[in-house]
Order: sequence, then structure tokens, then C-alpha cells
Amino acid sequence: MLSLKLAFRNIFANRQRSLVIYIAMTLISMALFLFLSFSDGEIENFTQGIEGLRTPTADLVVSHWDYLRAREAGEKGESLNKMTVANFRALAEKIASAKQVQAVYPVTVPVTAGIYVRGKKYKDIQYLGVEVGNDLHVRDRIRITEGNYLSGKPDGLLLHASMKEDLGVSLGDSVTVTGSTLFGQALAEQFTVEGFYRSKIDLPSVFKAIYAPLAGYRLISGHYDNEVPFLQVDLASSTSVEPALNELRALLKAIDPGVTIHRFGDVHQQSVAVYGAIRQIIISITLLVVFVVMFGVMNVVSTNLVDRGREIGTYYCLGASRGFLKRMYATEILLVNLFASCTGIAIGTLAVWVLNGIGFETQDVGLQMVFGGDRLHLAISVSSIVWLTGALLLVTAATALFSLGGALKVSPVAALRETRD
Amino acid sequence: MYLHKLMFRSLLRHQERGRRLSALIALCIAALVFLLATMDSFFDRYVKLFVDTTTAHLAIVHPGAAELKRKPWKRGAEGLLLIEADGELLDFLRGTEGVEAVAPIVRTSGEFLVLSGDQQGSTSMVGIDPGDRQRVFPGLRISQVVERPNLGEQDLPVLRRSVQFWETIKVATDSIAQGDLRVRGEGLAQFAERARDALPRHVARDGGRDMPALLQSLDAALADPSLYREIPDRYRQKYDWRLEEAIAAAQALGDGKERVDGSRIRYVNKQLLSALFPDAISPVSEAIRLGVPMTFQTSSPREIKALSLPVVIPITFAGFAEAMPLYGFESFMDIRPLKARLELGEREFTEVAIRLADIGAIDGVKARVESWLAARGLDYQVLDYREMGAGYLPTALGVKVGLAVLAGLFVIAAIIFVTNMILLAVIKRRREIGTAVVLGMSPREYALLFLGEIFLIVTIAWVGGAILGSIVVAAFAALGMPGVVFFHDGLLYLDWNPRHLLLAYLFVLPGALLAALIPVSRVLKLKPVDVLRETR
Repeated sequence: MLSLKLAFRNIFANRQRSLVIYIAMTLISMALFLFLSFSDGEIENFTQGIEGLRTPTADLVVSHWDYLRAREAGEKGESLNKMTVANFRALAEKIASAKQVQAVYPVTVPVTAGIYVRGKKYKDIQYLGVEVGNDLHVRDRIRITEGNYLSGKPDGLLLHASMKEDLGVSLGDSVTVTGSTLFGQALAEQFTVEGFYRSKIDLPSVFKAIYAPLAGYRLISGHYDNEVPFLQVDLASSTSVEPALNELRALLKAIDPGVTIHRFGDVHQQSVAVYGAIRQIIISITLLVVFVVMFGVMNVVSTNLVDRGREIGTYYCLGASRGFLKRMYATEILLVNLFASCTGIAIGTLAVWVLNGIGFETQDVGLQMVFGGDRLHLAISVSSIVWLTGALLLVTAATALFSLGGALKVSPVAALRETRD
Repeated sequence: MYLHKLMFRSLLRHQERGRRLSALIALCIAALVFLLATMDSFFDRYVKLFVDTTTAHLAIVHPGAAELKRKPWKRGAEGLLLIEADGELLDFLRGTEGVEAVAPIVRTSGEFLVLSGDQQGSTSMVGIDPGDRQRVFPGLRISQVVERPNLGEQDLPVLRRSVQFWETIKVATDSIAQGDLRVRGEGLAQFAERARDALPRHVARDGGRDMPALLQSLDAALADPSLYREIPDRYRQKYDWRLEEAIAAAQALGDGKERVDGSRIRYVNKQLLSALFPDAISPVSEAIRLGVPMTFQTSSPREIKALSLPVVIPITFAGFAEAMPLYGFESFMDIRPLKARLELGEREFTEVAIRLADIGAIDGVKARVESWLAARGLDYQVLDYREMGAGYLPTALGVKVGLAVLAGLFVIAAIIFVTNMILLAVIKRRREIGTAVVLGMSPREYALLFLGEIFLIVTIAWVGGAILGSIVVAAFAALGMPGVVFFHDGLLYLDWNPRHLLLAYLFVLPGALLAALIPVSRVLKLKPVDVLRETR
């Protein structure tokens, strides 16, 4: 306790020296914090944006009983597409009646097909289906740029806004969806364009889809009526997942052994391979920065202590032990670094708010890839703060370990002689 | 002159402190050299990789394709946008100063399909003369090329795009585990019964009693090279192409007469069992292999009806081509058979790719080509790699900006540390400064002396830092920096450049001198009386 008190006093007694380390560490922790926030932001942009449209997150997923095994066994194409949830409406109704459940909605898989518009055919367009009226997972993620959201008519389509220019298509146009269904049957169905949308966090160069109501989607996918690939379940906010999962699993076993229920993460893994790689690079670079900073701090601290020889000698004369002084100076460095780290993170957080508030948007495809969406978004994550604070604690520990030992080798006699001069 | 002497003496007297400061600055300079080298190497090599594998330096394209090139992910309507490249154009290009290689190309997109009709992957197919390919795209990494084993015209060799991580098979193909079974409960018991009935030698009467015993029996059966002989005729009365294919594949291994890899026998037998009991055993995915008959399916270049037949080209993979590891989806084949299958005219291409000897000559060559085309009334567009790389270059630019910020951070850190060290030096040397001033040296001269010391310390540190930084850069130049997934094998090879050493010096020296001015300004304010009072 005494060492803590003295460490505090020493910080203010050597104000100028403490300030230098404090400013340096603040700047460094702020810069590193902003780097990590950028990386967190681009991953969040991606997962919440287009990856969230492709694979909307939920608490639980109802699938065909054999779906997970078949996928793990390497089945794909038609054999995997056959593994669906049949009679999903009746099933959804029963699941929704469970008290922990907040929402149950069908989720489809993207079907790749072509579209024939005004004498031209475009291929590799992805189609998704929504149950109109039970589609918050889509509505919450998009904004309508022209026309209306899906009316519910089976032949209605909602197109991504970029398709208006890319495909030369307008509201009310009659288009033909061509190609083949998930089961290899020839496909040529007429639809009408009801509206255009943009994802709230858009990255159309990576993923964009055309939405159709379930009745229209099944014409494109080839599924039967009342059959969908998955049902997703959102639990009430205060519900713990594990008991709810067990309860719903028991319920489903009793009413439909053809399906089963899993945690979302067991069925879907959102793909962030590229952004994960960028994050690894950023983490490696922060390590390099921390390494160099560590040497800098160690050097400055040991120089400071050399200059404080008389102070150390006086402590020895007053009966302080070497261990006590080590503790005291280590606490002093720790406090300065910790304050600096907190200030850096606080300024960084402020900068994040300001930058997010400005809302820098871009239509440049390359920048969109760098940002993970069509706007610069910086995010604050606990893991980044923990990583940063941990790194600075490492700097402190290394400084205490390697710098203090030598600097405290001061003879009390020499200290007294020096003060006598 | 006496100032020089004093400076050296002072440095010798305070060599301990000088050494510390010097070591710290050397470390910062080494880090700076490393960061600058990483920054430039990443950008230059990324652009080079892109130019050397995907676009070349310039491309002549149809005017309607220009927009597609600027937005590489924007999809155009089906049908190819063709240009006419005659001998005159190609001769002009080849004769233009600065042009190293020219290749007319047909670029289309499509899917690889296996014999069962399942899609194995999509690709951008680049039809190019094999002789031109490596001259125009020297960065392409071609691997595992196999000699064509008497392939007829029906199997055109294709260098498949590199296998992406999601295309690899993640399950064991040479064993049977619980995860392979599609049945449970009553279905499992029925399957056990059928397996015992079909393969009595392998599945014992009590073998189907429980799941582990059944799996063990089936797994042991996989090792038998003559397993296909035991399949009862009744299973073959109704034609099933999957079963016949599987039997033919097992037969081709030669009943164990020739030495065949054991895992290959197990794999073929697993396919056989899956074909025999399709409702009970998951089908075995075919690994992406060379020499296997495949089809490449693409749209007709001219037909754009709502429903039209695709062009199906029988191919075989003759090797793998790796362009850009993250974004490279290009496969390559000989342009002649591709054009023949697409029924394109002799002069019809989608682009003419131009490689230059020196990237610096790009604007001049582009202007010459544009004026040549304009003089002949051709409205074709000439795009350079920057226009074609709108989707790729910002990634490199983003990394460059990030590393530049970090380099700046190091300079700031170095400046702060220098300020601290000099501040301490001024405090420590107050009496020395006072004595010098009393003996007739002006505070201004002493400040100059200080700055001279800093200049020397930074210069000496720079030599050390430059050597240390160069060693680190040389190590990464030889071994590559791992984990950089944008490059082949995830390795970024750094390029050593003396410019980085000079830049590090030019960044740190003025910064250190400026940082030194703050504490040195105190020296200028010193009065001999105050200093003498202190010493007394």
C-alpha cells in the first residue's frame, strides 16, 4: 500500500518525465486502438451487412434431421438441397407457441439463375425467398430506394438498386427468370419488378440478391409448397440458449422427427476469410509496434532512474529494501502506462464516434472492399481493448523485469556522497 | 573548429547516455526501414502480380466492355463483346517501341461440371495461345502439369484455376464412419440386413447387430480389391450408371494384380458401396484431380434468348494455374479450340492484351495505340492496368496507407524519446553548461554543440539501424513474410531498396533535431550567475 502511495507521489514529483512517457504511450495506444477499431469495423460491416443478408443470424436453426451430417460428409448439390424442413408453417406455429421464442421465420438458400430483361440475358443472379409479413431479418437490413417492398404477389421481385443500371430494368418491367432449379429442372418464369433496395451496409460487388415471396421463390428453387431449407428462431432477450434449445429439441422430437434444431453457429459459419487475414496482419503489426515501444520505454525508464540515483539512495538510507523499491517503481510505470492506455483508448473512442458520425460513404468498389461495406465504420470491441491493455501491461512487465534491476544497483553511500556535493 | 573538438569530447564523456539514445534511435530506424520496405513491397508486388497474371499492362477492348473492366464484378449481359484484331493491328502493336508481348485473347466465364452433372466450380476461361501465355502473363504459376495421355479432340487440356479452400474435400474418402451413414433407427437395421445379404463374406451374420460392428465390417471390406466381384447380379439388373461407373473404376484397379495405392482401393470401394446403397451411404465426392474427363459449360457468345442451349466443351485438367491467390479465378486453354467451339471468326477476340518492357512507358504506348485506332476509325477502348484494377488496387493502397501511418507513429515515438533523453541531459549537464558559459562560450554556441551531438548520435544510430533493418528486410526477402494471403503461398517477399534507408534518415534526423530544440532552448536562457549559485 505504501509503495502505491509513494508511486503516486513520484509520478507528480517527476511530472515532466512522467508526462513524456504518458504522451508517448497515449499516442501509441490511440493509434493501435484506431487500427484495431478499423479492423473490427470492417468485419462488423461485412457480417452485419451483406453476410447478414446472405446468412441472417439467429439464435437457433431448425433443419432437416440429417442436414448437418450430410454436409459434413461432403454431400452437396441436389442431395443436400433435398434436405429441407417440410410442413414448415405448422412447425413454425408450434415452435412460436413456446414461451422463450420471440420469432420464427423461414430462411432460404440463394439460388443462382439468369434473368432475361428487354432482349438481354444476364446470368449468375442470386435469388432469395422471404415470407412476406414475417421477414424482419430482411426488412431490417435493407432500405427501399425505388418502388415498394414485396407486395406478396407470387410474381413480385425486389431487385438490388445497382441492377437498375446494370441490367437496364425499371419498375413494373416484366422479366423472365431463366436457368435451372436447385434440382436441375429447366426454369423460365415470368415476374414483375416491384421495387429496388440497397442493403443498409452494402457491398454489391461481393453479394447482391433478388428477393421473391416464398411462392415465387419455390418456382425458382424447385421446392414444394410448404417446404423451406431452414426455419430460424429468435429467442426472447432474457432467455438462455441452452435450456431453450433442449426444450425445443424435445418438442420437435415429439412432433416431427424429420427435423432437428441446432445453435446458429453449428449450422452456419459466416465467411470472413479475407477480413480475418487483414486482422491477422494488423495484429502482427501491433505486436511489432509494441516490441519497439517496449525498448523505448525501457530505455527512457532506465535513464530516468539513473538520474534519480540520489532519490534511490535516500530510500535505501531510510531502510527501503530492494524488493520494495522494485515494487514501487514497477507500480509507478504501471500507473503511467495504464493511465496512458486509458487516455489513448478514450481519445480513440471519441475519434471513432466522430468518424462514424461523419459517415464517410463510398461507391468505389475497391474502397468498399477495404471498408467491408459502402461506408467507413469503426467498431469498438472488448477483445481489442483487452489485447491493447494486455500489450501495454507486457511493456510494463518487461520494463520492470529488465530495467529496474540494473537501475536500482545504487549504493546508499554513493547516494549520500552525491547529495553532499 | 574548437566546437567540433568540444563536441567529440562531450560525446566521449557522456558515452553511456549517447549509447542508450543511439540504440533507441537505431531500433526505430530499423523498424522504419522494415515498415517502408513492407509498404512498398506489398504495393509494388501486388500491382505486379495483378499485371503479370490477370490484365497485362494494356488491353484493347470493345467500347461496351470498358465499364465492365472498371467494375470487374459488374456482370454484363450474356454474349461476348468482340473486337476484330487483324494482322495489321497485331503487327503494329508488336512493332511499337516499348511493347514486349502481344496476345489476342478470348475471355468467357462458365462452370466446370463433373460427369454426374454436378458443378465443380465456376471460372473465367482465358483462351490464349500457349506460346503467348507466359510471355504476356509471366507471373502465372503453373503447377502439376501432366503430359496428355493420348487425349483425343474430345478432351481439351485446361489449366484449371487454383483450388480454393472451399473446394477441398474435408472428409475421409478412404474409410467409412458413422458420419457417412444416411440412416438411423429402423432404417439402420434394414440397411444392415441388406449389407449382410449383398456382401455375406464381409458383413458377418452378427455384424449388423450394432452400429460399431457394422461400420467395422464395412470399413474392413473397403480394403478388398475384388469387392466388386461380390456384388449380386440382381443389383445390376436395372441399369444404374453410378453403380456401373463405380464397378468399372474398381475393375480398372486390376484385382490387386498390380501394385496400387491402398487408399485408392479403399476410395474406389467406398464409391462402390455408396453406389450400391445410395439411400444409406453418402456419395463420395470426387477430389479435384488432373486427367479426369470434365466439361466446361459456357453461354453461347451470340445467343441471348431467354432459354438457349449452352456451349459444352469436353475438357480435362492438364494442370493448375494460380493467378492472384485471393481473387484469381482464371483458367487457361488454347485459344484455337475455344474459338472453334464458340464458333468465333478468325479475327474475333474479346481483347488484345499488351505487355510492356517498362511500366513507366505505359502512358506513351497507350496514346500511340489510341491514335492508331482512331486514325482507322475504330472505337475500341485502350485500358491500362489502373483502370482494369479499380477493384483490386484500393486493397494495396489501404495497406500502404496503414503502414505509412505506422511509420509516422514510429517517427513520433522516436522524437518523443529523443526529447526525453535530451531533457535529462540538459538537467544532468547544468553545471557543465554553466562552467562553459562562464569560461566564455555563448549559450548559442553550446546549443549548437548539443545539436551537433544529436546529429552525430542520429547518424551513428542510422548506420546501426540501417544495417539492422537491412538484415531484417534481407531475411524476409529470402524467406518471405508468412501469413500475407494476398500472395502465392501466403508469403510476401520484401525488396531491399537504399531509398528506404535514406528516407528513414530524412524522417528521423530533422525530427530529432527539432525535438532537441525544446530542451536546448533552455540552455539559451541560462544565466552564469544561476548556474554558479547552483554549483556552490
